Amino acid sequence: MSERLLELLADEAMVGLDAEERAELDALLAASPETDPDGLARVAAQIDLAAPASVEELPDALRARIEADAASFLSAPADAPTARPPGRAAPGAQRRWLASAGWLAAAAGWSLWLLQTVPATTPVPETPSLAERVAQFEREAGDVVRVAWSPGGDATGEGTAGDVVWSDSRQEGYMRFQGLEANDPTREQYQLWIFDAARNEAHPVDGGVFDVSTDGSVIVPIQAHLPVERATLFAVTVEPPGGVVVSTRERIAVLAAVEG
Amino acid sequence: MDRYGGLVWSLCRRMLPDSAEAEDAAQEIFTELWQSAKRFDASKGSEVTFVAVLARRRLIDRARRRERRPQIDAGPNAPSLEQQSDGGRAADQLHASVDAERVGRALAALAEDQRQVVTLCIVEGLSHGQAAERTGLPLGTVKSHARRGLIRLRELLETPVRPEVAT
Repeated sequence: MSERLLELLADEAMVGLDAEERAELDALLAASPETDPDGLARVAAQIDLAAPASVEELPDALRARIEADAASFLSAPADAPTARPPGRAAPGAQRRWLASAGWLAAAAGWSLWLLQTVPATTPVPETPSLAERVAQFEREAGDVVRVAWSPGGDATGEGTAGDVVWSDSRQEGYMRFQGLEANDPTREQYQLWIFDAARNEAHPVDGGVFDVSTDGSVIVPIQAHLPVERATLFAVTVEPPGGVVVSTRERIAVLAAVEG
Repeated sequence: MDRYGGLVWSLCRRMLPDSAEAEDAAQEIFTELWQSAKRFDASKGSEVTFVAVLARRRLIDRARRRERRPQIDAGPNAPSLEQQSDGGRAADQLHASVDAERVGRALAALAEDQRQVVTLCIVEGLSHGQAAERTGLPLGTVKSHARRGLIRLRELLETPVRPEVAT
């Protein structure tokens, strides 16, 4: 591992990185797939956790909001597109997690924890569907940009209709597709990239990996890994399972350029 | 949420001075935790460390987005005496969830300046520049202490604990 890569991982764990440093780190990690990108962050977390500090309980109102989020998350339809959480998953990393014997036990534990998150005796507020959430987002966010998809050249995106809606101020957005080709997640996945006016074009922000399991209409929440100051272009590429840190941009399914 | 709600909320309150932003951050962190659950690898660390890594990363990003470093706020967000009292038990539980004694020994193995910089940056959330102001050390020295200190801590914490043998 290079000295510079260690420096950047240490800075990320302790004080965070700016856009240029983030791009440099992503490039170094891509060239060093054996590196554990979270190792130093775990050490920093242990130092933080070991420091004596008071712990407050979640306020009731906030707890109710989070429980509503949990209910919405759990009630997502089984055929809804599955977005990978933002992160720096290197190619093949997801397969390595699946291959890990410890993962199975961990997943079981987390599933249990997830289920315990919404107590059965707690009335769960009725939560809006994803389509209703998008409609509400469009009504309430003052700076929503809405751009229709155009073909990116790859056959998967041919004839795709729909649009992307995004708010820079809320760092929230959704992709709507009609006719984007269904993918086999064991072979390839779709990955969103958000080009930001404040960042080098060579290093767009990872917007998350997702699957399309039906040929019908699908809505995918955007999971931007980094803050986006001013989105200028959204591009969906076809990548190996788990997504990539740096796309070769060889297979672009659809594009949406923000005017102005 | 019962297990880690207090941890996430306390980190948010400690790192974000604005209550509304702290609430938004807590909500965001839990959503990300559910989405990221499959990334948890028990062979690399405990659940509580996984939660803290994700929460700290999100909070540092938020703080940088606002062009300020997260800092402990002793103002309106400071817990009341009653809250501190209530939270004490939870704090003890969290404190016990990591090997605090081992972490303490690792910290003690660092040179004093290095230990001070690492603690200021991680626990108090100071930037390199702020830590330089606080300690009076040159900025370059602070960066070096912070980076080398954290790397040294990883080496120390990754070293298997050997049972003591009576001689």
